[in-house]
Amino acid sequence: MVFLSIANWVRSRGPDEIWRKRRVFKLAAHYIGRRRNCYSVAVRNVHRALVYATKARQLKKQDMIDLWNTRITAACEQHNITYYTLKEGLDRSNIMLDRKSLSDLAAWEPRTFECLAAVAKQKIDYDGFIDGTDRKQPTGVNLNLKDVMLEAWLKENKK
Amino acid sequence: MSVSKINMAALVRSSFGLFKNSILNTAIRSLSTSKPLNIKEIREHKEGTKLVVEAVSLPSPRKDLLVRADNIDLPSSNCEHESSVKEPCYMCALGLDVKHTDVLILSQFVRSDGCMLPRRITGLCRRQQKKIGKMVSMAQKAGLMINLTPAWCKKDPKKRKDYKKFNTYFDEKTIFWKRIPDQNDKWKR
Amino acid sequence: MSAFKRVQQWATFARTWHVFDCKWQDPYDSAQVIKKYLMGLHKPIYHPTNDCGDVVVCINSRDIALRGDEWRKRAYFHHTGYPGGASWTLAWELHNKDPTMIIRKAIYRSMKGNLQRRHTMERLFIFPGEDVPQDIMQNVTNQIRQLRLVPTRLDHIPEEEVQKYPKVMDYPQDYVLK
Repeated sequence: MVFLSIANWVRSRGPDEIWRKRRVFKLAAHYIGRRRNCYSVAVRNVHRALVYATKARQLKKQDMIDLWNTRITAACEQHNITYYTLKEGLDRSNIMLDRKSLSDLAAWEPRTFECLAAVAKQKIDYDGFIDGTDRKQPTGVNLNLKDVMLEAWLKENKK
Repeated sequence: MSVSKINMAALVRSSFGLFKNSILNTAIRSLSTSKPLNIKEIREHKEGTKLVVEAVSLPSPRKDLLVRADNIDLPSSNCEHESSVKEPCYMCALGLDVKHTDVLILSQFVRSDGCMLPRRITGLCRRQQKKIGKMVSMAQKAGLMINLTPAWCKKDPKKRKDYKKFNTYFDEKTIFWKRIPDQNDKWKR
Repeated sequence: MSAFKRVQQWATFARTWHVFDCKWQDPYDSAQVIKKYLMGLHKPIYHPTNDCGDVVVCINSRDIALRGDEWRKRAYFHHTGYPGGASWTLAWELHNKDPTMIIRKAIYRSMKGNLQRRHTMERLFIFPGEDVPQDIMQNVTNQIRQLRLVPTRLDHIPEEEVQKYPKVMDYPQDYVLK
């Protein structure tokens, strides 16, 4: 006579083993090969995928922010203004639009965005705020050295 | 008072000049750098059989065009706190942002062979002299002042050798750097 | 989709052709600008997966300017794959061999290395001189602003303008003009 029941009890991981594995197999349903059929392989891959999904929830937001930034910067360049100046000008004139709505306006309502840029520029002008980020790039503009000298020279001759 | 001072200086100078002439007996040298004469230009012309060499004192051709900081009301002059310490030299006082591409300014500090004038003639402070000297050499290397070069120079930058024939620009920030970092160094460990 | 909307769609995603004059421009700085136009980063409709990049025609690539001593310091690396197959070419040697290569490599390196990069580079035309084929030049509608001023040589400025230019330095009293 063979007694198997004790050995089987030791092996069994509880009454709901099927349901536990089924939960994992459901998440691995779209995998290919042993990754979907073999529990020990599937569970590793499912765990890894869940970790990725957790991290991606933050990354997705970051990606969207990057995209909005790119779009707003592109639209700002069209109106000859930096992103920093635009934001500063809009904040000063109490237009509290976030990046998402600004980029939507830039893409879908370019005329509205143009007006916003003009508002920001004008407000910056009134306040006498100087954008320090603009100075980094020479942008091929004449440095006006000659004009400064000429003005001085003309002034001197008038006296 | 001041006249006697000048005379004393002249005496010393002329005696030194005589001593120098005995060693280096050249025509120009015997006439140059003697203070009381105030020589600006040496003219040689022939009258019959005689060769007349005369030194004419001329007003500076740059007098009318000269720009000085005293004559301009600079918008942001930081002279108030600095004047008590030391008089800034005329370039510092002007506060111009000179680049090495501003050949019209740099060529004023240069001899006809493209050599930078010494500090006793330019009258700049040490820092400005260094800065402008470097910028002159930058402009020369970039081939922007090729009419102000010695006769033996290859005038056209395109006819220079190897890497020298290609266009080069310079960053003025590097003038006072001790060592310009090598591009390839960032790959080294 | 109405006819108007359809045309608007075409107009939005139509490719614009830009020309960029490389004369006296730093290739590594201008690559950052050209990259934007090639990838479509200058448009508010940009998305990594939509194909909104433009075409850029670079002219005068023979006259690019490198900073300081980079012509003889910057080296371009190549490996044939065989042992001892490494070679380093200095920038001026490379420019002698192919005057378009430095700017092409600069733009290629400025972009992120993904599969799209090769296709984006297809939209870049580089010419060593000013003579561009007519079928390319007729498409060009925009010019990209240069980053650096093209310097003027002193012998190209008229003599009287040099004479009349305001002077900073004056000679001392006893200076002999040479």
